[in-house]
Amino acid sequence: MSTISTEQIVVVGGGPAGLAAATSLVRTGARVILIDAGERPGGQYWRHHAESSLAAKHEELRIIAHPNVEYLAKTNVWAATYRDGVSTLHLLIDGKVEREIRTRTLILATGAYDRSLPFPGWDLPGVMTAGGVQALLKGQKSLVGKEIVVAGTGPFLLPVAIGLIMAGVQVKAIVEASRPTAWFTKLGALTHNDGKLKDFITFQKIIFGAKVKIHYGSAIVAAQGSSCVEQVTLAKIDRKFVIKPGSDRQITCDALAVGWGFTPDLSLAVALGCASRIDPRDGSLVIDVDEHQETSVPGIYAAGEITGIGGSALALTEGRLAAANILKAQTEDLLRLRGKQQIFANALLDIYGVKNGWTTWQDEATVLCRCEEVSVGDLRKAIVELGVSDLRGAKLLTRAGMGMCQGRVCGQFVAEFVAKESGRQVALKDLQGFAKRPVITPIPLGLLAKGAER
Amino acid sequence: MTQIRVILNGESITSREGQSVGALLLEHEQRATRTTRQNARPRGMFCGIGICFDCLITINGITNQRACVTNVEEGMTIQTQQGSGAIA
Repeated sequence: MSTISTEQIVVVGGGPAGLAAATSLVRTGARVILIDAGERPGGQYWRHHAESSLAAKHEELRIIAHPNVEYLAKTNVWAATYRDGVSTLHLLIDGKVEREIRTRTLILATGAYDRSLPFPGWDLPGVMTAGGVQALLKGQKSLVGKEIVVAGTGPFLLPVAIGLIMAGVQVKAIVEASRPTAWFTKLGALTHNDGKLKDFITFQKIIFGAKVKIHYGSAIVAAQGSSCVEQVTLAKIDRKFVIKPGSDRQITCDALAVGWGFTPDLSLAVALGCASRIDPRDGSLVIDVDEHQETSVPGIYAAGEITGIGGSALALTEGRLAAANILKAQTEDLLRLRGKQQIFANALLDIYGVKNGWTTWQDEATVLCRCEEVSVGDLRKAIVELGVSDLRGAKLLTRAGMGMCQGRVCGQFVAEFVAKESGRQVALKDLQGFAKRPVITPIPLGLLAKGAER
Repeated sequence: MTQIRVILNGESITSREGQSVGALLLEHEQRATRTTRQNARPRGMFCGIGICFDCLITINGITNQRACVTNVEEGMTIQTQQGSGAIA
């Protein structure tokens, strides 16, 4: 039998939100099980290699050594259920051992991954997400190429480019879809976060010093190559992301790092029955929480990117707030801080918004679903000839989203593509249908047959 | 840093403890980990964090492992794969 521990709080996710929650909890004597997929704590934001001194700088990264913390690294929750106030998590530890744990108090901080947009050639080796390129650099000191173009949108592109410059890479160009003038209407938001302004100025200085050009109001709209990317097409885009005719030119490179913001990873929260909603700021599916970070399921809290993209500072605050509410501690200061940080996050999502003109960048052969190799032509045929008008229909008739990633990469943009072709907005049920993943990560059948350790 | 011997596509090479299979492949100028099942297109690491399942590769005879989240181990056999897992 598995034991139900009412005093043991389970935190899933070892990024800033989960670590902040765990840190606040153990300070008061609570016992915490911290589950993380990574081999070291930190998540994506604090990703570091084995010899890094990052842990000396952040108390949160050292919390795994606390006697009241049971830290499970390289651990995936492959399935989860909720019943009568108890969450049951089925764990796969290091791909080898299965274990089942139960808890009455759960904090979900499963984070986000890069949001992608499809374009011709985006499936070529050497084209990677911006986060992926940075993860390789920070976690492995490994470089995907020697001459790299960094493209997409968002404040994250600058640290990625700078990391590459510092590592000796020739960054051929930084391509940012938004325009710097977009900031003029948001200067008020900056007053809530002057540290970020200082970072931004430092970044600009380094990039200027390395003689790397930032192309604003532009996008990489195609990549070409035979066995891997050899060049990319740079084009100017208008405010709706439609390519300006005749503005395109080629850039030679051996890799492309491209990111269009982030997509929250809701698989676990959805499996546990937590209510979700479409975030009107960026169109992504997020977990609905009340002002105490509690989800629609009593005893299950959510913090960080899964409640809406907001960055690491906000994630830390949300993690602390979830912990404070569980401990019934004072929350006034945290609530005030969260409010300020949300204003800044809102400004960023507005400035670096993805507009649906991206649906004009593809040709009929462009791959949409990478796993199942579903092309734009395949999807359009299903819409025009077979009358598909929603994501479920698209999935059943084209297999888009039915591959091993379970729609994590293509779900949102296939939904947007179908909605646009059908002359409507993306519906909540489109995205919710894709986020339901009863088996969250693959598990060897042999382990399943053996049964879980309890 | 502990040196590790692994076999990549039949060739014995040196890696080090903590290195991911994906990073090892990049070090050996090998961008593609596999070809796709239907159109035999080359694919390599894309998300780099275990989300996208694009960098599939055969490790110790087990097909469709993620190169980006699998670390090398002494004596590991790594084979780039064709389609759903016939050895390339």
